[in-house]
Amino acid sequence: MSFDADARDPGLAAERTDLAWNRSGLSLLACGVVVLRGMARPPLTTGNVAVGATILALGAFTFALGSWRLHHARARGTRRATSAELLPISLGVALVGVAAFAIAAILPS
Amino acid sequence: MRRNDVDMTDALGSQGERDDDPEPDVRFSYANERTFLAWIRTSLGLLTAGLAITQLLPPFDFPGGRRLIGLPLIALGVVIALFSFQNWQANERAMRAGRELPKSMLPRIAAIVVSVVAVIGLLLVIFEGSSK
Repeated sequence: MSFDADARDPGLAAERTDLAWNRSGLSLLACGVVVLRGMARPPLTTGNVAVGATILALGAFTFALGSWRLHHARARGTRRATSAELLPISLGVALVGVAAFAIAAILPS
Repeated sequence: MRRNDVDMTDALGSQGERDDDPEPDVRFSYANERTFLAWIRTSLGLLTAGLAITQLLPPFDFPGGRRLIGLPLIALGVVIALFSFQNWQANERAMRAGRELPKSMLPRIAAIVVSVVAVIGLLLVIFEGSSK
């Protein structure tokens, strides 16, 4: 017995959630750009570029995961977020944060 | 809302949802998901701000001033990234079980850390002016 969410709230909750995923992906991209801008000063090292590229990739991954999820939500009506979908985002951002802390604490600025 | 212990243990992380189980209104789950995402963006904003302060801002007169305000913001970002998932999971479980939503520590932690950092930033700016 599933809720007919579309009948009572015609797709708007799903749309807001979709937009929230987009904003989150954009924030990750902004974070990646700041890392690349701040760290990737000459001389460019592989490590610097790798960290920035990883964050940018995580941003793209967030976009993809969000639209994939909401595509299913629209089709099924009752599709909810699962731990398997959200935990990688949480851990990924935490790892980015630990790397950011190391960069800020160790690198000469 | 019916209490269903089997559903509680199975509810999270399970990919195959069963349509015959009574579930909370899907809009509540969407709202919970958006709250998670909003905390993730808050975390990312703090990380970006912390990195920009330590790497891009011109140095303060006070030695280590940029790290003094940048590092706490980054640390807060890490804490929020981890707790955001924990909060989402606790809310989802409470909704499934028909329990009251758990209280979150995050808003208080965030408010305290950001306030302290703001005061330190203010002191740094005052120090800046008086030393010239």
